[in-house]
Amino acid sequence: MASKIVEIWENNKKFIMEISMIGIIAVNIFMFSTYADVYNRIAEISQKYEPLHIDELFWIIIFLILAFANFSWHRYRELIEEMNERKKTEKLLRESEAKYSALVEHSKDVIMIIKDGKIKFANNVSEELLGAPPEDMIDSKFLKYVAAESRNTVKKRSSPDMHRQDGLNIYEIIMVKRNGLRVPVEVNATLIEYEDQPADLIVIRDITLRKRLESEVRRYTTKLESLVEEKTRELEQSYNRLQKVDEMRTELIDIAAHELRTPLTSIKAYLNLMQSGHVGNFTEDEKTTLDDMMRNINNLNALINDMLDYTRIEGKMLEISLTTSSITELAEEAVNDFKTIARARKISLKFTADTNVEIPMDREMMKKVFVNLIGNAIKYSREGGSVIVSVESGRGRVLVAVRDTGIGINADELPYVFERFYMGDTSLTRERDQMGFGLSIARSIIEKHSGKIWVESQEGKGSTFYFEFVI
Amino acid sequence: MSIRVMIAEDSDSTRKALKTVLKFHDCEVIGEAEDGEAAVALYKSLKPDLLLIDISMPKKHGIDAIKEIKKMHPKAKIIGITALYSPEKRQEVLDVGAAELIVKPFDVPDLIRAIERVISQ
Repeated sequence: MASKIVEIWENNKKFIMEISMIGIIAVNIFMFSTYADVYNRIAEISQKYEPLHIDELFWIIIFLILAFANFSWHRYRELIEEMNERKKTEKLLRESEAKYSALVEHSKDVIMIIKDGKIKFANNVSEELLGAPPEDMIDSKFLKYVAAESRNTVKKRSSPDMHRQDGLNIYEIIMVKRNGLRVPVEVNATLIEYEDQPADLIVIRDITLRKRLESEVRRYTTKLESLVEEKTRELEQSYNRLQKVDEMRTELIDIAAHELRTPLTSIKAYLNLMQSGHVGNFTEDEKTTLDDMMRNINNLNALINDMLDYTRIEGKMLEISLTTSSITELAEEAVNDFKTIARARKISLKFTADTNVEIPMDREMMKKVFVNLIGNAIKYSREGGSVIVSVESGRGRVLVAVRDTGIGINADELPYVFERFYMGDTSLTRERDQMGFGLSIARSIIEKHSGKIWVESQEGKGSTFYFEFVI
Repeated sequence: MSIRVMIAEDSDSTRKALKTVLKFHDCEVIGEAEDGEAAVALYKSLKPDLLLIDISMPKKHGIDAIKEIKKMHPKAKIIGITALYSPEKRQEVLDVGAAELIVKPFDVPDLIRAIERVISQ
């Protein structure tokens, strides 16, 4: 009861106060007689329950009319306000609805509201995707449009528990059009309140094209992978084949060299014995012949060496193995090996180096280069000539030079010096010592070490052979 | 006083040449073997002052023979002979216990000097 009174008071405060004001004024107008009269009058009325006098009634009626007018005026004003409010609200609502309607209907994706498994709302695009107009879909079960194998996924993803988890609720399923056609889609679901109850707001996107592209990419990737595998296998096979070829070639050459050297061993041994006087009795002239014979045997042996070198280095398919060691030391060693020969030919042989440089190299092969260059320098020098071997480093490189003051190389022949079978002037030597492999092998070796080799020469003055590496 | 030398060499002609050379240089060839196995057996029975053994065959019989002989007779004096020289091979031969490695076709004075060096050790 009390709360009802409070309610009435709260809702009609203004009105009640105005009424009271009018009431007071009316009572005062009504009571132009004294307060005593009023008091007496009220006492009379309350004691006797006398009917009111006509003039008293008149004023009561006036009072009631004023009250009613006041009330009506207020109610009228309120109604007008309410109407305006409602109009405003309706306008806002209409605008809002228009906005959302535009969003929903212009969306390229299907937007639906699902409550209790039934479709409560579907935008126009739904017709494109599922082949049924939105009106037909309302209140039908959502699962009706979901392919059998995807129904479990939908059920799992629609339970309230799913939504309570953090993170996106996006999943892929297959839907079925009214005409039975299957469509792969991506579903994005959010929990909302619809008509005061929990419902799913879902956005459905047709991913047919994406799926097709994905499968194309997969197909090409698989093809590519199997191609790469195939090529790798082929490469491995080629590599193994080449390795085998190398091994076979080396084995063959070793056997050939061994067989060729066997008879040479006997011949040389017997010839030595004849030269030393152990066997036979030869005159000085005859001894010269023996010396010639010995030289030929040595030449033959050198040819076998060349053949071995050529096969092992030039013909090699695969790379050499490198260990870091001092090229300065190697150069000095090679120079020392030739000291005796140089002295015998009365040629001065010198070595200079500015630093000890270490590079990755195949020592045995590099030695061959030195032996070849120094040997040539001595061979093509005259008595009294000089050969200088130098090792210099600077600007990130190491430069080796073998300089002689010998017969030099003809300018026309200079470009061909490093080619196979090139022979220098053979007038200085009485026979061919070599097959002409030496420099081409030297170049091969230097190039396999990623270096450069070249020559500067002047006929009659001498030659300098250079090779350098980046360190 | 002759040096008692044993030769292990599969080539007839080389064996003959070695024998001839050694004859002129105070060495007596007391035994000859034609392969690694025979060499080991013969060394055991002969116990020569020096063994000259060919190791340049593609198969490793020479090296294995030196290894075995050195195991039985650690003080054995051995000189290896090869037609295919490489620094690696030289190291291998010295590692298994030979004192020197001679390269074919050899210079007679070189061979004799090597023999003298090894015998005097």
